[in-house]
Amino acid sequence: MPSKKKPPAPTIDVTVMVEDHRKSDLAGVARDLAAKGFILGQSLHEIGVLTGRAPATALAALAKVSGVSAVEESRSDYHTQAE
Amino acid sequence: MPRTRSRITPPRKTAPPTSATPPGTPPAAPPAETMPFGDGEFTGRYLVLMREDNMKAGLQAVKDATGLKQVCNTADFEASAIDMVQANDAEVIVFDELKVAVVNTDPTQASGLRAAADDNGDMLAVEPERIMYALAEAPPLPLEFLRGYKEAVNHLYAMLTGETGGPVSEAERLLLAAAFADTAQFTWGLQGTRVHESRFSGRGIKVAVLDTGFDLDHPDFAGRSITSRSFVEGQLVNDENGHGTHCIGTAMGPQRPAGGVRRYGCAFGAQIFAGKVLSNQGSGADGGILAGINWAIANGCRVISMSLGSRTRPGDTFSPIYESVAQRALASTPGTLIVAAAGNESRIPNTNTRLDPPNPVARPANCPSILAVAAVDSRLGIAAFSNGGINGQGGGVDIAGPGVGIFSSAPSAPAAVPQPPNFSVWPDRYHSINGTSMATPHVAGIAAMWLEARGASTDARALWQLLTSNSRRLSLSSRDAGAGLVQGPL
Repeated sequence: MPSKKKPPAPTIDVTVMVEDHRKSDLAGVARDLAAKGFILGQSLHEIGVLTGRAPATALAALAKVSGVSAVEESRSDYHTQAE
Repeated sequence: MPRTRSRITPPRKTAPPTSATPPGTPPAAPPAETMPFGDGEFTGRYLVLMREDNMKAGLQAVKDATGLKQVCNTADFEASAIDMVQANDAEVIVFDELKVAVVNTDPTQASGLRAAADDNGDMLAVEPERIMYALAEAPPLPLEFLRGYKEAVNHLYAMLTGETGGPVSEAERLLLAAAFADTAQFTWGLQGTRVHESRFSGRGIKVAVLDTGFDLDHPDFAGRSITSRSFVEGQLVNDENGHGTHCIGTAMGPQRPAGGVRRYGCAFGAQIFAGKVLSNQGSGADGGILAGINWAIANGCRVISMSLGSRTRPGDTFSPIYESVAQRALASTPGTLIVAAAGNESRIPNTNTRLDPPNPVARPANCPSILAVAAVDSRLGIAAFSNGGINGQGGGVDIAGPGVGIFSSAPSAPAAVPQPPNFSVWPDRYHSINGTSMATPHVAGIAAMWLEARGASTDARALWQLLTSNSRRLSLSSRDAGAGLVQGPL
């Protein structure tokens, strides 16, 4: 008999932009994001960006966290621009 | 018109979309006092480009340098519609919207003006008045003002209305027949951008190239200041692709290459920061690219060159994250300018013809606060592959650089991995290739030269303005080539 327990949502790479006024507290914003399922990868202090992984279904919730100005699914399709 | 609705406004473009200055042959070597800024027609007056944020100080600097006192200001007239009778009596006409002063002065005073500009950050540029410059962003000018400029106005009219033909177009065609070419001394790109005539080298300026890494053992870079780091998991900085070594060569290659080849690099005095954000296979992801930008800024790099991109579609908008990053970089003190390739998706496959319309500028160059670079060929025509500014909301081309048949450094043996489009193995040490990737490091290296020329305290927004306002106007639309072909400081 199949289990009724839902499998965990697949995670994706995400990039989070932190608002200017929270830029000096990236760790605090990362903690708040973690409560919504965010797993911290890098804290990029100079530019105020957090990278990491999160359930694909959690992006909207991450975007609502205080101090977050934008959340994007990370892309990996950048290429050299030589012909 | 600004490209953005962002909170932090990127630098205004100061160049017109098209120009009466015909493209073609490189500037002859005119007397330094009369025509230091390329070819074209001149009125005998001089234009002074002032800082957007402090026009008053700029105007005072003009007065101090020349002793001129009679100033006519467009803001004094209703709807900036300047009264030409009064204007003709003025020694200095200030176009507030343009942040430009037209100075009626003799060559001796002009020389003093230029010397003062070198020492005074409130004057960004001084150049002889060319007709198109004053038309860059001006409101429609009364016909009286244009009297005496008839030929150039006819040319402008023809270009703006799409009417071609007639003697001006014929002259243009003749000029177009003359092309730049690599010589034993210099690549065509260095000649076309005036780098070979510049006395500046970007000395001491830190420039980051975020790419496939760097051949740290290349003999042309022995003894140079090189800082490097890989942001690609499992791969060292050493460039087993070739693309990064080629781009670094163009941006900061030596004055006299150890290999005895022609000079191919712009800012030979700059400090090299090689960040590997693309793999040896030539691809990468947001995490590595953003980490590379963060590293470059943390290390005080004033310019970041990114010959990379992700294809966009018509109607796509820019990434708010890259835009915020670029705004923060520009707004920091003294600030970092991010330069990126417009992308190569506009060639019709298997032909040398360009899609009409072209494909849009790639991500992240499509951000308003990232300087997007298109590619031109040695005849100063747009490269067939070069993307265009067809998406709104900042997705425009800002400037153009040499991007066809670009000779630069390549990794030493063992040879680089096979490269597209033909997946042939690169030759050792030097190679000529095409791409907006090749145009981008020309702009980055030249940006470092401008920083040296104007002083390292020049902020990043002013640097953007210097690059676009000093570019060589081309007979290409701003959609394709932005403000024109980037030019080095003399």
